[in-house]
Amino acid sequence: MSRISTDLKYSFIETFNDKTNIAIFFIFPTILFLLLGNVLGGLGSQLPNNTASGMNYFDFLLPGILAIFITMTGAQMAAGTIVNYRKSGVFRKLATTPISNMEWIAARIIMWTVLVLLSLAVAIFAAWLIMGIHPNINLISLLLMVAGTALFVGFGILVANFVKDEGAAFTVTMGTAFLLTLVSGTFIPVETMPWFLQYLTKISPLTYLSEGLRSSMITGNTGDAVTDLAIVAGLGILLFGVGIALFNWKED
Amino acid sequence: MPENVIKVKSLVKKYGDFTAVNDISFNIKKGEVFAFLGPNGAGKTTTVEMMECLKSLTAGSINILGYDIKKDEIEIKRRIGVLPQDFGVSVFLTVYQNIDYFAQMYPKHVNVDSLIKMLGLEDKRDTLFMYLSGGLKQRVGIAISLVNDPEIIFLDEPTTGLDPKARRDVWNAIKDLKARGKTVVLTTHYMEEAQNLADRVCILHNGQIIAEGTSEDLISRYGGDKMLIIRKCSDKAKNELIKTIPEYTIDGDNVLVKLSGGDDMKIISNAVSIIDTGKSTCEELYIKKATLEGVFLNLTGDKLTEGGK
Repeated sequence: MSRISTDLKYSFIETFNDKTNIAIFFIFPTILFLLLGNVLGGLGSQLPNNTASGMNYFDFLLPGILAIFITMTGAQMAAGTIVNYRKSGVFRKLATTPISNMEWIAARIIMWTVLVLLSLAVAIFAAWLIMGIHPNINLISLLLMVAGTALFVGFGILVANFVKDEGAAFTVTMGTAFLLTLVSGTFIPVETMPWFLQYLTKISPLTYLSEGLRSSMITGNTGDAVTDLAIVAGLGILLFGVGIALFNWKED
Repeated sequence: MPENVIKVKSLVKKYGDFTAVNDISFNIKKGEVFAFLGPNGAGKTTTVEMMECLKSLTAGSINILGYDIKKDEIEIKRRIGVLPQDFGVSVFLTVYQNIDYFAQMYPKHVNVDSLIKMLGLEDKRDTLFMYLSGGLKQRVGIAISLVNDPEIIFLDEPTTGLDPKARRDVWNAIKDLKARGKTVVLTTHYMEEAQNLADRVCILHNGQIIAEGTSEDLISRYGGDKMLIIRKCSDKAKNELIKTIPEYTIDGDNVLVKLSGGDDMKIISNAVSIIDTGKSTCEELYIKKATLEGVFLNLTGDKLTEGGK
C-alpha cells in the first residue's frame, strides 16, 4: 500500500472514530441547511425583489448555502488538522519517516474533498427529502465543488502557517467565512446590495463559487458557470500553491 | 572492535545569535546504548534532532550508517527508528492502527502484531490511543520507532513525566533492544537512567560536550570521593569516631568520612569496631558512592535537574 493510500485510509478511520465529526460533517450541515433554508427562505419571500432569472428565493439560496459549507468545512478542516498535528507532535513523528509533507498533503486534500462532497450530498439529500428541492447536479457543479474545496483548503493551509493553536485557526477561518458570506451575494442578490458591498463581491472568491453553483445547478447558464469555475480553479491553484509552498513540518 | 555507526564532526546549530550546539564531535558504536545526559537546555535534544533529520545543521557533518545526512536523508530515515520528545500519534486510532499506519510508511516493515507482542501491548491492541496511560503511550511510541526494523533507534527523553513503574517498563524495553543487538541513542536528564542503561555517556552542558565515556570511567575520573556515612550517633560514639578517623565532617548527629583510596578499609573497620563495642551507638553506617550527578556537579558547578520539562 502506498503512503498516500495509507494516510487516506487511516485519516478516514480517524475521522469516523471521532463521533463529533459525524455531527460536524453530516448532522450540523443538514440542520444548518434546513434552518437557513426555512428562515431565510421565509424572509426572502417578503422581499420585494426576491427573485433573479425566475428563480424562487430558495432556489437562489441553495447554491449559496452549499458554497458556505465548502468555505467553512474546507478551511476549518485544513487549518484545524494542521495546527492540531503540529501542536500534538504528529508532524514531529511523521517528519522522521520517509513520507514527505507533499505526499501527506496530497492524501489529505483527497480526504477533505471527499468529506466535503459527502456532507454536501447528505445535506442536498435532506433538502430534497424534506423540502422537495431538485438541484441539477452536473459535471460543472461537481467540478466547482471540488475546485471550491481546494481553494478553501488552500486558504486553511495558508492560515495554519501563521496561527499557533486550534482556537486561533477556528477564529480566523470562521471569521473569514462569515465576512465572505456577507459580501458574496450568498443570501441576498448582489444587485440589491449597497454599491460598496457590490464592489467587494467582485473580489470575494465565495461570489464566484456561489454564482457558479447557481448557474450550473439552478439557471442552467453553462457559459457563466464555466467562467466562474475557471476563476475558482485559478484562485484555488494560487492559494493552494502559496499554502503548500509555506507548509513545512520540520521545526527549523 | 564494533564499527562506528554514527560519526559526528564539528556539529553546530545556531538560532540567530544563540548557539544551541557548539562544535561537538563524537562517534557511536554498533550495538551500544549511548546516552546524552544534561539538564534542560544543554543541547541534547537539538543534537539528536539533527541526527533524526528533524533539524538542519548550521555547520559540521553527520554520517549515519555510511550515509551523509545532508545528501541521503531518505536513506537514513529508512534505517533509523525515532521516538521524538513530545511525539504525537492519532488519538482516535487504536494501538494496532497507529503502529500499522507508521509501518506502511516504510517500503519494508515488520509484522505489526509481533511488535505489539514484543512490547507487551496485546491487551491494548484494539484500544484507542487516547485511553492509554502515559507508560503505555511511550511503549506504543517505542513500538512505532521499531516498525522498520531499524539498525539505530533514537529515544529522546523516553521516560520524562512517567511514574516509577512506567519508567522501569520503558527501561526494560530499552534493555531488550540492546539484547537484540540494536544501537540505541538515548537522551535523558535522569542520571540513574544513564547510569543504568548506557554503555557510554556523553555529558552536555551549554551546547558542548564536557565529558564522554562509560559511567564507571566518568565517575572514577570526575565523580569525586566515596563517602562513609555514619548516621544518628550518640555523643559518645561521635567522640570515639573523631578520635580515630581522619578527614571527618560532623553534620548534626551524623559523621561523614571521605574515602579516597588507600586506607579506606582500615577507616571502615575502625568505625565498625567503635560502633560494635555496644557502648557507643550509631543507627546506620553505609558507603555513598560517587554518581554521574557528582560528575556533573564537579565539572560544571551546577546540578542536573530531576524535574524535567
